[in-house]
Amino acid sequence: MKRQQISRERVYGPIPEAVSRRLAYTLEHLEEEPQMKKRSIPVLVAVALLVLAGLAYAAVTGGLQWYYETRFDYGGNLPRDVAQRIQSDIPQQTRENPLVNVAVVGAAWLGQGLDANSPDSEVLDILIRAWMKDPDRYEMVPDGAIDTDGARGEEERLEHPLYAHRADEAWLWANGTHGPVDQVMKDSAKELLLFRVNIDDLWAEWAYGVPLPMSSYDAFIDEETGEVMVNFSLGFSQEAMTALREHADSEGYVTLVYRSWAGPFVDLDPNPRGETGLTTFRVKLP
Amino acid sequence: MNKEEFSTRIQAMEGTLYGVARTYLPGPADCADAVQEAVLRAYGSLGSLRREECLETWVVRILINQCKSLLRKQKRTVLLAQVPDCAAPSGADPALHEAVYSLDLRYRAPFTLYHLEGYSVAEIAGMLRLPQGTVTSRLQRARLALRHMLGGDWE
Repeated sequence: MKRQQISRERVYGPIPEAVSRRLAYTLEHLEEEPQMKKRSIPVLVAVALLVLAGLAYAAVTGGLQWYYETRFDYGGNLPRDVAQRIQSDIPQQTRENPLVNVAVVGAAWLGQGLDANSPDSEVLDILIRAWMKDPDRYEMVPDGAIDTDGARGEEERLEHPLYAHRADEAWLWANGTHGPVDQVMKDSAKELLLFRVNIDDLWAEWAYGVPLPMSSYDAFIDEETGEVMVNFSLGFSQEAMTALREHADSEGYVTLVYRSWAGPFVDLDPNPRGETGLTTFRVKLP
Repeated sequence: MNKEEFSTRIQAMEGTLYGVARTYLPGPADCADAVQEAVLRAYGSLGSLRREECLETWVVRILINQCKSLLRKQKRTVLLAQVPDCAAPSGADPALHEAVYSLDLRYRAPFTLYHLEGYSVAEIAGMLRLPQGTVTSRLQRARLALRHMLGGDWE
């Protein structure tokens, strides 16, 4: 075979429809004025439900309803169908993380047809809130807010005119802007604290033997409180749902576990040290 | 740059976005996620792009990092490093697909960008944050490996 005979299509195949559709949808729904914005399947879902329901509901500050209202610009018009599915009183126990407090503040089974790749899966939305134990010392961000343009962690370094910053300098994307960490932090006299809930950690402890594919993930800072919010959408196959029902208690609840991690940011540290916590919580099956 | 121009230029590089994502991620669903996130991140920070003529390479760079981020989150890096058994997508040449996917990601990424997407060594160096010499040597190693697996002229 000659080098000239190869092409993207021969190596990777034609562009899948899933990619084309998603790109077209994304471009079509860009706002007129560029701004940081979250994506995700729940947007599609909730928009569809909005059309169907069309009923206004007041937002509940801090919970999953607040999340839908504020993150997806419903402006107080979250469809009743969605609002009625929200479980806001989540029984939970936490083995505390020394650096942060965490809590599941909402869960909702949004139904089927929300994941184009698995239309018969049942989607569970979960919202986790994390707040610092020592806000005088730290400023907290989701760990994904570091280096979204990839400057961090490369072994080999390069000065390149395409980039305004050094290749060995991590950038922070937060507070509506991005740049060198100390320039983006609200108070650079504090230490930057990274927080994450890893999807693998989230479910690895769970002994049900049920696969838990993630449909989407969203982590962001609540600008009013400075707290970190993490939303997971999980798509359960019908087989997985059957397994869950077999493990549900007499009231129809199943127990889930997630592990949180928080650690001070150290630039280019390949093995950052941090602290973990473990939270067990219960969600009622639909 | 307004929304229309941004959309037009991004739409025109749809194939490139898929090719780059597919270099890192084995499934179309993950590719779609990564492409979508990269486009949104790029659009959200257009104001920081100093040279609009660099939009395409800038978006590819963001996409590469998004793919890496997705890999980290899903802890599938090890699996992906062992993907010679990854099924070829419909329409792909199975032998060629397997050969390219058997390359270590360090070689596969510059190979895709150079041979399949047509970027220059200098552009790839910027995207991957590598010295140009490193890109060149990795391309040579990729070609050697492919020649060993597939035969023919890869120089």
